[in-house]
Amino acid sequence: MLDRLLRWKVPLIILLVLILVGTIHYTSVPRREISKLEGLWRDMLSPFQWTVSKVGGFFQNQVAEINRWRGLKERNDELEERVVQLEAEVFTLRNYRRENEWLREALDFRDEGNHALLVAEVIGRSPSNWESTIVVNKGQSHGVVSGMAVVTNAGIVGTVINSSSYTSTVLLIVDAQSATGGLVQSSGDLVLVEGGQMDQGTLLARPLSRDTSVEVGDVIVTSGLSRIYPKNLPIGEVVAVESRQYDLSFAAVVQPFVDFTRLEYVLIVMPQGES
Amino acid sequence: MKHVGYGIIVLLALALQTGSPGLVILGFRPELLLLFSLIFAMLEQPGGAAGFGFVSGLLQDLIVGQFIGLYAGTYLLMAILVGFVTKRLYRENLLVRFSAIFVGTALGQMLYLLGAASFGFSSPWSWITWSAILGTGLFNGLIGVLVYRPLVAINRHLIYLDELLKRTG
Repeated sequence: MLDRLLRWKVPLIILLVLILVGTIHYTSVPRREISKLEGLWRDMLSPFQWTVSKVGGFFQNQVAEINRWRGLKERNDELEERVVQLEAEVFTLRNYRRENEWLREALDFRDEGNHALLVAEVIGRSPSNWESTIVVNKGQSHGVVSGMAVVTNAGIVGTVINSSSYTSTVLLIVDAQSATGGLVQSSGDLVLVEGGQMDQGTLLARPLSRDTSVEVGDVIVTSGLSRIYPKNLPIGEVVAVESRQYDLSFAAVVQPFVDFTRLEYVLIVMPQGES
Repeated sequence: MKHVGYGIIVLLALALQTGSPGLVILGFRPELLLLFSLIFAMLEQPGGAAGFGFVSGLLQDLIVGQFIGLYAGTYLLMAILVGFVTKRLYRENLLVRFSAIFVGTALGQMLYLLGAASFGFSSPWSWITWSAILGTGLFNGLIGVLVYRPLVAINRHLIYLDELLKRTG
């Protein structure tokens, strides 16, 4: 009996291990297209994810509402002060904008901020701690393909890595596999913004040249060199600068402007004419 | 009937785990499918538990879309290991249950990261990684202690329904 079992089980286990190693190896590199089975399973799960998302969002909003009410008085004073400051700033910015438009026209610049945007709802997240991805409710049937940039009004979110008919998976900029070209807004120095800080939710900006200077409080924006993100989209603010022990270089810790734990809606940057 | 019941449990767990904002405790995401695989490893025969672990891991793999088969293999191995160890222990003891799930989850996470690293995934073994491994293990252990009894009751009910269907045709 044991012999017979072993005769069948051992080759079966070897076959299973070989198949698993094969599929792991095949899917270890980023793929632009996902298999039909993956697409079908994701589309099947998306209504359940949407339901959980709605219920979870409801409770999260209730908690946020209670917290908001607590500090309403203090917040009101702060906001009134801020309104006065912002009104003055808006006045100055209007002048800059008019000047900028005039200069753009003069230099025949293309307005790179004018992109078609597709609104998508966040319905899912990566199931484990090792990947930082979100699932949105727009897919191939809406014209979404891998490589498209995903943003919010606060800043950049990530890139579409694959999509099924009705859903797309977005690799967040905080993921270990994400690297985005950025520049320091104040100096214009180029940096490479990488994820991988896991639960801390921060990014690391590494300088691309020896002369790069970054200080706490500097704002990092997209450089526009990667051709994924439009130029000058906000990424985050430098909160610390860490020097490397055996290196003349340094790395700046960047706090993203986007709160990835509270993402509800995102904007997918579509090619011109598709929205 | 039992398989339908298990299927619904897997579907709900996966939706709960991946639905936004999802189940996040202090920044860590408990691995519900691994947790259920480990609990079923304590309740079921090794073959059944391994099958449950493999299928639920594979379904999670299809959602993640990278290293497809790694979660399946990891959950299968962990289900076999925890099932093998706890068959020799008194599972009704809370501490035994908690420890089995905690160790199973932490080992499973390490195995996944080692497997992914051998296929090119770069994950520094920093304190952040270790805290994520231990944090997930801890939360899985605590949730496991809470849901063990209800799952035992559901499992018993499903077995009863299976028997009933067999006898009544």
